[in-house]
Amino acid sequence: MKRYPLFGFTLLTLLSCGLHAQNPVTYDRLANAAKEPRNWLMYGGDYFSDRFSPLTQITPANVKNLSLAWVYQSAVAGSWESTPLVVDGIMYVTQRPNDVVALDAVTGRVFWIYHYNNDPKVTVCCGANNRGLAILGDTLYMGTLDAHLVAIDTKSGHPLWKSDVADSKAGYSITMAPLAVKDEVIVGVGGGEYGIRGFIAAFDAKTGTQRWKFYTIPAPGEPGSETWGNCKAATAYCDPEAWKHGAGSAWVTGSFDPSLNLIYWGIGNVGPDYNGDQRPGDNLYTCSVIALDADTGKLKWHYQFTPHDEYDYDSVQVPVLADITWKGAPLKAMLWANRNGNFYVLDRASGKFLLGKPFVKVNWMSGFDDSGKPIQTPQPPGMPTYPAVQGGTNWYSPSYSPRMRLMYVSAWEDEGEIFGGVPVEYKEGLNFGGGNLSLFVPRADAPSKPIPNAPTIPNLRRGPINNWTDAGGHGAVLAIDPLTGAVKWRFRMTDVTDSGVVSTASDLIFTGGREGYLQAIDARTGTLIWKANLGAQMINNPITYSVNGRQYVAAMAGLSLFTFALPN
Amino acid sequence: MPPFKLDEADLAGLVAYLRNMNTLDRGSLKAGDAARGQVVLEGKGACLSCHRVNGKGSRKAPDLSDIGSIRSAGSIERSLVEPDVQMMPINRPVHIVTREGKVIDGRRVNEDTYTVQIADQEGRLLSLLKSDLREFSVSTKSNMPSYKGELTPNEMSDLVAYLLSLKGQ
Repeated sequence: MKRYPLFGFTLLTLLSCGLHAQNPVTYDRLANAAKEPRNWLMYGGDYFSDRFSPLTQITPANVKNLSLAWVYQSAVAGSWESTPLVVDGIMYVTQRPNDVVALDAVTGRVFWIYHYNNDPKVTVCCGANNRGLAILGDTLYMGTLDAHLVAIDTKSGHPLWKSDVADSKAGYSITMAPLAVKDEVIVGVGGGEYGIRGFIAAFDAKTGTQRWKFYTIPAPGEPGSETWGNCKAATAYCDPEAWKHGAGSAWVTGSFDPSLNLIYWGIGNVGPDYNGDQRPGDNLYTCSVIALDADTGKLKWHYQFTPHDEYDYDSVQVPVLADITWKGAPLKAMLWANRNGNFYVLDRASGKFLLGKPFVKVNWMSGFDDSGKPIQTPQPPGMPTYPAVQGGTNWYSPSYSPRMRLMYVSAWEDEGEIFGGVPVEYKEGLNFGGGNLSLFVPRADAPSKPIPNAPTIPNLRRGPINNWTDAGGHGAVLAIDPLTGAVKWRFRMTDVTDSGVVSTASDLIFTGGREGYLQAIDARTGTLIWKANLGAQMINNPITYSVNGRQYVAAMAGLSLFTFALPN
Repeated sequence: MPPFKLDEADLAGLVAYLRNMNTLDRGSLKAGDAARGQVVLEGKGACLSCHRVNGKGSRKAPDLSDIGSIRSAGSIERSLVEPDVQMMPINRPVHIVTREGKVIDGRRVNEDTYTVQIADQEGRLLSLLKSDLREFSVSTKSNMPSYKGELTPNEMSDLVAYLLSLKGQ
């Protein structure tokens, strides 16, 4: 581990941050994050993860005047998926693979950079990504690619402790931003393509000692283990202990309701991803949301979005919590636009299923039974399933505006995939997908047939030419009414999007996409009001914050972090 | 691109596939003669009236100088026989009328939500704001004629062999 103290720290602090009290970020402050709209204190903005900012300086009327405030260039290649924190004028952001950078949120000048040296043999499926930090007191917390949890001093960038979370040689990693709750820090593990046994664990914020651990794949005899059936002996690579490699990763941050003392976490795909024959049954708690007691990690309830998933429909989307009126009565709701293409409303106190409705084209299921379980309709071999493997949406965050009472979701529309499972043997640290997949670009004259060899939307990052075009799918931001699941408006993009959404109390939303535009959209109508071409794809969640009464909007594109504000 | 941790057998299979992927989709034609295929391309086929190869020919249609490294034999054969079916979506013809009434026909080379980049009939590169356009339509019909029945099976085989030999500089 190395630290790079940068010249001029004290002077810059006085210039830009000296007007702010830099008090420790207590649990009380985190629990009341909405009362500090100037700050962005955690991955989802606050414990409800609604990414709704009460800031109102930038409005639909003046957003056209936004201009560049500053740019920070990371000089680290690869997709930049981090969500910054902003605390009293200081921005903390991670850059690949596990650097932490402290910046002046007004000028972009750097105070310090902490560099973590990962185990060079680390195994990750989808790039050396990191999505952000948690803060508690004067300490930042970061999960690492080699599956450690690191505590870092906010003022100096010095590491304070480092805890083992899992064995990276077996495919475990941490790419999500941790969640700080009370006096503990909670993380989940990635590795769903490597046959891990996923879990969520809480660590003492002061010492790094593990407090509790909840396995997302139950062991024999535990509740949920009955959903792991025995494969037929003739099945290739039939493993009577398939649950040991059942995946159920947790690679995006969860949410927390202090009034219920429950944390909520989305759980990823089952292993092997695509070959269900090797793991009969519903395969709990994969592709589910789980509600855990924040103090003990005990399971309170669960709801499984995609039982026996064979499409890699990870349910890792951040749970959005909202207090709404449902059929005339107050409801502590959970709103969820799922990778499987359905929008859900659950009672977050009980886990009761209240509503499920497709928000993109869906043909893997035809509806829900009375219990809220999807009625699955597997497509014939060679025919496309909708949505495709990237899903109707994915890990990037939606936003819920309690003012507009709308959920804003970045979606991939009209993208289909031909799925096929193939036998795969579990080998530690090797890919355990078991799939033979091809995206489906329909022929114009025969939509049920694909264009042979057509370029398709890649899972990995792309260059600036959209050579697959919208013939194979396109992006959109959808405004969904939680009371009905209906799409109130749709903002269509030509290319797909991996950018989250932030909404404001001035009825604006900001979002990006692979085209590289940072866009301001009227939250009421879906009308574009302003855009800036940032020159590279945005693969992260924009945020907004304020310092000294000036509101900023920040987002990464390519290797750079851009911050915009109204002219002084 | 992330590093992949593959065992030796998987690695060998992957490398073998990458080395031979363009020959896996062989199409229905027998092996042809590339030299004779060049004659077909420049003569009876009149391909250079629209396409360009190594600096010769028109810019109306995609440059074929590296077609052999990006397309399979089967894909090239289908392009010759059923151009509408095999045409890549990015190459679809566009018809544009600007706000001022100027008509532009060409081939799409890139597009996003707000702009489109095209090569027009004279081969000029144009980048246009969609908000400045009165009409913008993308056709799924290829401007390329089918060579089915126009070339003999031997000529078709030779032409495919020549196109497969074009690997770029």
